[in-house]
Amino acid sequence: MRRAIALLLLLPLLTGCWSRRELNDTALVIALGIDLVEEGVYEVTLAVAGSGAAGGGKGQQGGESLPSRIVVSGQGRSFAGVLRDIELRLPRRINLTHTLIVVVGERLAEQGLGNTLDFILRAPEFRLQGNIMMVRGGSVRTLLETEPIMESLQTKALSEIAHARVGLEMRLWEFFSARATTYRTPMLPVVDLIQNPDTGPEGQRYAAKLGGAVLLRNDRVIEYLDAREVRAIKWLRGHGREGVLTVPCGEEPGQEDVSFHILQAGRRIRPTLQGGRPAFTVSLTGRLRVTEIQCTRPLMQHEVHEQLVRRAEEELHNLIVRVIEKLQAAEADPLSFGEQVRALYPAVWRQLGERRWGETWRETPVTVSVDLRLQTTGLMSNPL
Amino acid sequence: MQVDHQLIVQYLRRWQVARADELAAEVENCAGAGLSDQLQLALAAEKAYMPVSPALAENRAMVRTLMGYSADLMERTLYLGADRLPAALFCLDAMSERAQVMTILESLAVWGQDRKLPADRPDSLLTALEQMIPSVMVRGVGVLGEVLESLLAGDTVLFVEGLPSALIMPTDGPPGRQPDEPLTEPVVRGPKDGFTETVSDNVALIRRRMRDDRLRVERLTLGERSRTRVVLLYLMGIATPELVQEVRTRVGRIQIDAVLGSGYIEEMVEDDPLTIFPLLKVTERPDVVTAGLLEGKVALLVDGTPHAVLMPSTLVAEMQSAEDYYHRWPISSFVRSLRYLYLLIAFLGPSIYVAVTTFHQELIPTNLLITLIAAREGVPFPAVLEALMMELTMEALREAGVRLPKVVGQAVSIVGALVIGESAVQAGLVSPVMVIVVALTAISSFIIPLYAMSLAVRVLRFVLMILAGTFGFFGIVVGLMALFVHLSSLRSFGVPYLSPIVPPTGGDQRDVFVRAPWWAMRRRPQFMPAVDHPRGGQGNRPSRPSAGKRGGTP
Repeated sequence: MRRAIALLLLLPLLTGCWSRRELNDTALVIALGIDLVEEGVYEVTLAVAGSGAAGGGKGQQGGESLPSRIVVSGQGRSFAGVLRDIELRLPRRINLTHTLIVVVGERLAEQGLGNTLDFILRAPEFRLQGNIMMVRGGSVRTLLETEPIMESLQTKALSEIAHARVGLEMRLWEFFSARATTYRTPMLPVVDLIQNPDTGPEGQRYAAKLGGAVLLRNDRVIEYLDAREVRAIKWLRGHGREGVLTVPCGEEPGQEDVSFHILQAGRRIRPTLQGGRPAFTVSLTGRLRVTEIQCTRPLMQHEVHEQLVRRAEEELHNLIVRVIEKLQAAEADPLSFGEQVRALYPAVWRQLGERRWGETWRETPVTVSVDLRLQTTGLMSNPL
Repeated sequence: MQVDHQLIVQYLRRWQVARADELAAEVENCAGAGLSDQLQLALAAEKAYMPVSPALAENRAMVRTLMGYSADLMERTLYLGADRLPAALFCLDAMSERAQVMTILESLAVWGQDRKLPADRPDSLLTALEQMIPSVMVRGVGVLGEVLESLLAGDTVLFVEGLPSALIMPTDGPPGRQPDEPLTEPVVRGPKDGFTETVSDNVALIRRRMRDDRLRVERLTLGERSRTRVVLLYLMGIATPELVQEVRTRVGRIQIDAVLGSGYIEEMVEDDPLTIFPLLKVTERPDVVTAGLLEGKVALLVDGTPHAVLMPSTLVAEMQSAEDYYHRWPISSFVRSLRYLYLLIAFLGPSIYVAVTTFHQELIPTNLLITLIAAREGVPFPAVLEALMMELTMEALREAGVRLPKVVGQAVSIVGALVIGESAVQAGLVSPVMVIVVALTAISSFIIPLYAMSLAVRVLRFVLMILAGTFGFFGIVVGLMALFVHLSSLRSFGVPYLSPIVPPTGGDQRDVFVRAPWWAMRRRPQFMPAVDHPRGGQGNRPSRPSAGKRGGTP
C-alpha cells in the first residue's frame, strides 16, 4: 500500500510527452496541401474538420450547424512559418495527427518539391500512413474546397477513393522511402479536377477524380502515366485485383467487346543474370470472371472462351510491356526492380553502382509472360 | 417486590462469597424501593458465578431481578408428580416457539401427575425429569449466568424445588423468514435458496448439500452484549488444520460488544486491514459456501446475517458466479472471459476515454475523432471534469436506488437517469458520448458477480480517472502499476490474492478465465492449502457410445 502510494507520488517528477488538449480546443487538420505561388513562396492550405462533419449526428440543438470543414490557407517562405501564420488566425490549436492526405500542387511538382515536405517527416505528430497525391487541373485549394459526393468530407472522400484500390494508392512512408533512395523512383498519384458530371451540391463546378500518376526524379516530374498505365503498375505492384480487362469478342475483332473482371491476380518478378547483366522475368497470373459480353458467342465452348482469354492475355501483355518500356525510357524504376537485384546479386549490384541504376535499367531485358484463366462466366453461361 | 428483595438477600447469603455479602447488604438497604442501576449492574456482573439455588423461590427472584422484570419474560408455576413438587418454567415470549413450550408444559403438568418423583435425591430427580420431558435435548445447568444465556437464546428453563440445577430445553424459534432467492446473487440455473438471518437454518442449508460426517460445525459466541452465535464450518480432511486454527485464533481474538453482521468480523480477521479489495468472499448462497468448503475453505456464519463469509478468498474467486458451474462449460467459459473484459471496461472505461480524448487524439480513428469533436462542441467542461461529474451522478443514482423505499426507488432511478442523461445532453452540459461511456461503465460494473468487488472497482475508477485527466495514459499505466503492486502484496489467510494467476499454478488455470468441463477438473485448486487434492476419477469423460467399433469394421 505504502509502495503503491509512493509510486503515485513519483509521477509528477517523471518526464514524458504529455500535455492536455481538449477536443473543443482542437482544429483537426485532415488534409494538407502545398503549392507554389511564385519562386520561393509557398501556399499551404489546411482542411480543418468542422463539427458538421460528423454525419448524421445532431451535434448541437438549434443554431446554425457549422460547415463540414473549413479551408484555410496562407502563403510564406517556409511551411512552419505559414502554419504559424494560420494558427494565429484560428481560434483553436492546429492538430496535425490526423492528416490523412497531403496534396501537392501541380506547379510545385513541376518546379521541384525541394524540401517543402521536410516538415512532414520531421514533425512528430505526423503519421506517415496518410496518402500523398498531386492535383492536376486546378489549385490545391479548389480541390480541398470541392464538396464531395456521398461523404461529408472531401479528404475522407479522397482517401476512400484511394483505399478502394481502383486507382493508385501511395502512402507517405512509401513515397518518402522511395525518395530516400537513388534507384527507386517516387511516384505520385494524380487527382484530376474535372467538370462536375455528377449530381453534387448546387453550383459546384468541379469534381475530383483519381487519374494517373506522375514519376518524379530529383523531386521534379519527369513523366506522366495515364490511368491505364497506372493499372499495369498496380498489377506489377501486386494490386492487380479489382481491375477490368476489355477485349473484342467477335470472331474477328470488331466493335463488340467482352469485359473480364479480375478475381485474383498474382505477379512474380524474378531477376536473373545474363552474362553478368541483370535481366527480369515478369510472370503474371490471374483468374477472370466475365462481367459483360456484347456479342452472342457460345462461351461454354472451349475454343471460344479460350480465344477470348488469349486475347485478354495478349492485351495485358502488351500493356505491361508498353509500360515497362516507357519506364525504361524514362530511366524510372518505381517498382523496385533494382531492389531485387540488390537483394539477390549484391556483387553485381555493387559493380553496377546503385547511382547508375537508371542507366542500367534502361538496357535491362524484361521478359513478360501472362497466364490468365477463366474461372466463371458469372451467373449466366452463354449469352442469350 | 418486597418479597423478592428478601429472597434475593436470602439467596446471596446462601451463596456465601465475600462479594455476595456486600451485595446482600446493599439490597437490604434498598428496603422497599427498587434496586438502583448500579446495584443491578453489580448483580449482573456476578451472574457467571452464581450457582442455582435448591430453593425455587430464590431462583425465581434472581432470574426476575437479573432480567430486570422484563415484559417479555414468561413464567409459569407448576406442581410436578404425585407429590406436587413446585417448579417454575421460564421462557422469553416469541423467542421460543410456543408450540414446543406447550408440549413440554403438557407432559409436565398433565402426564406427570401420577408419577412419583424422588424429591429427596437430586440426581435421580434430574434423571426422572429428563425422562418426562419431550424435548430433543435436556441439559442441566448449575450456574445462573448460563441459565440466562440459554433463556436469552430462546430456550426454556425449568427450575424445580430442591434441585440445585436448572433444566434447559432448546425451544428457540425466534422470528425468522423462509430461505428466499438470494437478492444480490440471482442465477438462471442453479438452486434458488439463500441464507436467512437464522444461523441454525443456514447450517441446515449447508448440511443438506453436504451429508458428510466430516463436515465440522463449531459454535462460538461473539459480542460481549449481543452474544451472537457464530458458526465455523469446514470439511475435515480437506481444510488444513493450520487454516482452521488460524481462523479460530483470529475470530477468538475479537473483543467487541456486539456483532450485528458478518461485516464486523470480516474487517477484524482480514490480512490487510487497509485494502479496498474484499479479502474474504461474502455470499448469500449456500451452494457457493458448500463449493468453497470443498475447495478447503473455512466458512463463517453469523446469526442475524444472511451472508456467509468464506476464507481464504482470491480475486479470481470474487469474479466467479455460482452459475458458472451449472451451465455448460463452453458457455460458462465465454461468460467468464466476458466478465473479465467488462471488469476492465468498468475499471478503465472513463479513464481511457478521458486520456484518449484529451491527451492522445492520434490514437482515435479519424472518423471517430471527428464525431467526438462534434459531440463535444460547446461542452463547457474539460473531459475529466465531465467524466467525474457524470460518474459521481451515476454513483449517486445507484446509491439512491438502493436507499430509496422500494415503492419509489425504481421510479426515481428511471426519472433520474432520464432527466440527467437526456437533459444534460440537451442543455449541452455533457457530451452524448460521455453519457454512453458512463452508461457502459455502469452496466459493466454490474457484471461483476460479487457486490463487494464491484464496489472496490467503482471507487478505484475515480482514482484512475483523475490520473488519466492529469497525466493521460501515462497516469493510467502508473496507476495500474501501483494497483498491481498492491494486488500482488495482498494475502488472504496466507493465500496470494492473485493466485492462481500470480503465482501461476498449472492445473488451476482451467478454472480462471475459462471453466473447464467437470470431467477435466479432477483436482481441487492447488493454490489452496488443502490436505487432499484429488476430487474426481479419471474416467468421467464421456465418450461416444460406438466410437471404437465404427473405425474397426470394414
